[in-house]
Amino acid sequence: MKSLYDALPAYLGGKRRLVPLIFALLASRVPRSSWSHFTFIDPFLGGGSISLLAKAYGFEVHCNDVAYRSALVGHAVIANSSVTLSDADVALLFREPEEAYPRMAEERFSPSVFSHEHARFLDRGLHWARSRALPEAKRYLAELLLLR
Amino acid sequence: MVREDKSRKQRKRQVRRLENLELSPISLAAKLANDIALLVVERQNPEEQEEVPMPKRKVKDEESI
Repeated sequence: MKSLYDALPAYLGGKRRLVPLIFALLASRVPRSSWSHFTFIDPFLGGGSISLLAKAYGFEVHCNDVAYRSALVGHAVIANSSVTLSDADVALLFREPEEAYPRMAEERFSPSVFSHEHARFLDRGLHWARSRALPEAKRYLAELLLLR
Repeated sequence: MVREDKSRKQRKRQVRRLENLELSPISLAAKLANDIALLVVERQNPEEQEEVPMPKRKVKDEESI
C-alpha cells in the first residue's frame, strides 16, 4: 500500500513505521485536544517523518539536523506548509542554462555512480534549484526532488 | 554472500516500480513533484482534531523506540 511517507527520502533508522505507535503512546499521556498548544522539539530530524506528522497533528514544530540532507527535508516540507512545485518549475530543471554552472556529478561521480546523462541532469537541476530563478521554498522542494 | 539491507532492497523495488511505469524523465520528475506535494501540509486545526488510534499490529520491540 502506498504510504504518505513514500515521498520522503529513505533514511537509515527512519521511524516512519513507528510513527503511528509513537503518537498513539503520546496521546495516551498528553490529551490530544491540547497538542496544538505545545511545541514539538525534534533536535535530530533525520528522515523527517516524526516532525512531519507532529506538524500535521497541530504541534508547533522546531526541528534541526546537522546533516544537510535532513535539513533539506525540514526546509522543504516542515517549514513550508503551502508551496508546491508546478509543472513549469519541474520543466525548468531540464533546461540547459546559458551560463556556466558547477558539474560536480559529471566530473566526480560519472561514470562510477551515475551515467553521463543522469549526472548532467543532476548538475543542471542543482544549478536551477540553487539559483534565484525559483523562490526560496521552491528551491528546497526542487533539491528534495533531485535527491529523490 | 553479503545480505542486502532492507532499505537497499526497498530502493531497488522502488526503482523497478518507477521503471515499469515507463515514464519519460520529465513525467517521472513531475510525478515525484506531485508525491512530494502530498507532504506539504498545514498544521491541523484544533477544531478538526482526529483521534489517534493505537496501531492494531503489535510492534515487536517497543523498547527500541
